[in-house]
Amino acid sequence: MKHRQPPYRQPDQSRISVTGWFIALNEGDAEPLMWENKYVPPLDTWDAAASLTVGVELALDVAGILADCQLPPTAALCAALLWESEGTTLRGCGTIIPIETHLAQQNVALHMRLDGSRLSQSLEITPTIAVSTALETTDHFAPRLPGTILWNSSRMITLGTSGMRFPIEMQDFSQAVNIFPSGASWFLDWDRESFDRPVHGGLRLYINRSNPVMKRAVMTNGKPNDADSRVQEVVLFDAARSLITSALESDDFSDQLNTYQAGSIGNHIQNLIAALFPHESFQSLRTQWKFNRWLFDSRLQETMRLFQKD
Amino acid sequence: MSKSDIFLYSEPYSPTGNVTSQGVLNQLGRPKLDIFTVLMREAVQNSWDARASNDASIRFGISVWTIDKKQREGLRLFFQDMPPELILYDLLESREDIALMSIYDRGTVGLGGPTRADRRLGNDNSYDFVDFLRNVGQPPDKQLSGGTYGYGKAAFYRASRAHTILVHTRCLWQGALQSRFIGAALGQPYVLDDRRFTGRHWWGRKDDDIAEPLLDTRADRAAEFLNLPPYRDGERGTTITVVQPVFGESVEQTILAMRDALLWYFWPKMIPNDSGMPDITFEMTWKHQPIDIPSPDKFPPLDLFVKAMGNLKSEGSGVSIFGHVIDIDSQRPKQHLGKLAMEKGLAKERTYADLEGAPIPSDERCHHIALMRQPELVVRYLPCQGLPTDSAEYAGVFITAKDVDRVFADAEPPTHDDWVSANLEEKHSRTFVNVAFSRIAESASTFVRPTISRGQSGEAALPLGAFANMMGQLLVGRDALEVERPKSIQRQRQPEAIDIPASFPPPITPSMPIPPSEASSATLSSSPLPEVPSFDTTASPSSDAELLWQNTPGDFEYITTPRTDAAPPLALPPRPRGSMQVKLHPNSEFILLDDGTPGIGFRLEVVHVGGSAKVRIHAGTRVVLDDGSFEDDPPQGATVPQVLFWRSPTGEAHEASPFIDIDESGAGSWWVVINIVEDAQLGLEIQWEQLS
Repeated sequence: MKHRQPPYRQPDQSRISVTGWFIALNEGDAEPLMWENKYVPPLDTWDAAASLTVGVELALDVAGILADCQLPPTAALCAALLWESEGTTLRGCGTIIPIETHLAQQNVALHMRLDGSRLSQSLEITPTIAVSTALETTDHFAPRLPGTILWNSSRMITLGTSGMRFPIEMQDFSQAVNIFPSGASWFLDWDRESFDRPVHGGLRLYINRSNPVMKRAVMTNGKPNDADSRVQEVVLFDAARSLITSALESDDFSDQLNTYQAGSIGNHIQNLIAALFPHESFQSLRTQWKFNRWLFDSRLQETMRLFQKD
Repeated sequence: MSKSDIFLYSEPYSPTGNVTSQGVLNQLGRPKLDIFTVLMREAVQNSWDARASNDASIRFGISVWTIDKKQREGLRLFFQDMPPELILYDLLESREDIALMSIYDRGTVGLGGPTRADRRLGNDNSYDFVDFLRNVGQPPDKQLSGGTYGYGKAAFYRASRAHTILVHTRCLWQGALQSRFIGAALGQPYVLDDRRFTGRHWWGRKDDDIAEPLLDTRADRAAEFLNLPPYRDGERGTTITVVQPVFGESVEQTILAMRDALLWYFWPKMIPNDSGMPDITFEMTWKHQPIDIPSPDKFPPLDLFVKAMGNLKSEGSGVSIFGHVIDIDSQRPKQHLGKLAMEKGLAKERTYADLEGAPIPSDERCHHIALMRQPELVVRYLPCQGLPTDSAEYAGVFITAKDVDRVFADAEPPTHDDWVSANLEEKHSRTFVNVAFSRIAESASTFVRPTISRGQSGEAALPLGAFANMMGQLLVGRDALEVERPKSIQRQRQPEAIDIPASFPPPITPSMPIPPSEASSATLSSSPLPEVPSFDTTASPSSDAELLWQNTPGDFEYITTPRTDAAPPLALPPRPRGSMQVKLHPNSEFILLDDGTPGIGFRLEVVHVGGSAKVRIHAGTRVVLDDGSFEDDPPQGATVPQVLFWRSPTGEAHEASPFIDIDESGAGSWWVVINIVEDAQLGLEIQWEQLS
């Protein structure tokens, strides 16, 4: 059994209530979240290009805090939101709000915006109540040094997903240095004969950022509206069709079936085909495709439930 | 053509020495390119240098055909006097087919000037005829010309198995058009009647004991007899015919390789200039049938080079919207060296006929810069950093500035296929060439550097995580495949299909019997599980006890660590029936002793269950470090926390000791008080052991 105790008085835990945690990507709407445990659900939709807005709301029993710590009403206390990212080892402090110690109760909203480029792996946010300025007090155990932490509570947010992300890059197709037709909306870049190459390095989806419809559809923070969802579905279907039909067309792929290493484009295509057509052999699908490739496209629409999702 | 008209002149050594035939043949050195590519490069450069007007375009052609019996007999007559060491004799006497390859230009000035190298005739300052046919290594007269050495003539001889050529030219001579026809060969040096010969030979009409060209009508008749490309009325130019070219296994393939070489190195001359016409019109025939020469913009990746050239040309005229023309400059010494323009595009299928000779391999994405001087003939293709994608490629064009064109020309080897700074004597000139290469490579690297999620204008990166997750459904891993389908890629329900994959493991339910061997570790399964003492917290809980046994949320850590040193980590020792329980209360209290010493009191709850024995409680006092761990090795002389006293449930104080023994009568709330160390967080670890 271990017990840690700072050499000064701290308020009882009941004096500070967290009424809501908030987290939002970019400028998205933040909804209050109640995270009872230190480790909270991972933020799947995060990426390094996204900024994060995080916040916490506290309900403070100010009079109780002062009483527990044996502090006078003139004490200068503050609430602050600290952050630290494991991957980048960076840390910092967001807003610092003075606590109105003459009030009996106070609600405090702390928030900050973090550039995604400063974060990696995880983000720990820690709302903190601390002493602002040195205090004169007769109580031997009262906190009095500036920076003395009276209370804090942290939450660890895992950034990103454990699943695979499709390699995607935004490009302005209208720029002359670009290689794609300026009016195109996307381009799936891969060598249709290099199934051995790893996905990350051999496959990339370019999105035309100069197309406002495309740009909006892919930047939804995981909350696409109906129109965005339809665009996403089409891109998903088109990419699947490109991958699958290239495999069906390739004699090499047919010959090398089941030999592609995990992580290779060939391996993922093989798994994708098996997932979409679990009761059909590759050779059977290949025959179907050769016989009537347009009908096969329609079958793919059906099995991917294109435009069937509400 | 009568038998007696044609005179062979074989060059004897002069008392002061001569260049031998082998010396001429070796002038090209050891070119990196194959002989027909070298030949094309030399021939077109010579033709371009010989253009009659800077404003008008010229025509350049290659015609290959096999001579018939009559023409073969005519050749035999023309070369009737044959030096013994030349293999031409054997060729003409053999049954082997004889091919001729005429390389011709029209709209050029022809090979004018005197026909003897030792005389200046008339007021014409041109010495083209003697420079090409008599002299060795004569530099060109023109500034900003494509060739600079005049050594290129060796390529014509080397392209012939017999090292023999026929030259039919039409030029202005003393104010009038004049046709000239002459044969020349480079054999082996030899000795005849104690006289040494250089191996250089000429066939023509005898004049002052040397072979001079046939002139005018006789020259044109000889050309016509051999079916050489004709001249239009008033047209000037030169036809150089290679006798029995050293074709490889396939004549057609060699011809196509030459076609490719023309495209690779002279595409700038094929695209329309400011007047809408190409600088050079190229034509090719094989057995008098035309060979198609594709437009450079239909010959990937030259299409990108053409676009890059367009970017470069349009800069400064207000047409260019791309802003990708880059000045290549030297800083020290300060000098503008040239301009670079680049263009990207989707990779396209290659249509090379000559795969081996292509300067950009057919299986490689283009990442090359075409290096040119002012004449805009490609010197070489400089490979630079490639794009990170296989779907796209890029091409660039670099053209030297007029001020330094001579420097780069001087840096070229005889084959004009590189810029070698070591060829230059002047230090600044070497700097210019070296700096040009490094700046071009740097610029190309900047051009191709990936712009991941970042616009060209520095626009902020855009978050794509959610979309990338959604698209990640396509990247189905094998594990995922066996457990669950991607959310939106769900298998169509088939009436007769079993919905659960066969590989899906059956769920384990609590009612399923679990074999003992799977239930726990071997240690536990080999001995009966001890009966865990039960605390009836609902029967008569005190408020403190209720708090004590609840898993209260907070920052405190509860670790039950019975001091049983011999116990293996996974095999908890069986706890004797009737043991004691010790719990550390989560809250502590500050205590100011009578003598003013500040301390912290930690409360322990000692509970006896049944007839338990005595227990020894250890209080480990430490300073807590920044990472939350307890300090094991305090700095020398540092104040450390220690137990000031223990206080029993009855209020009795016990000695300052790191441990205390408590028997059954001592059950209840105990306090252990430790001193405060200034500005340090204090830690207390409680361990206990049963005493027998």
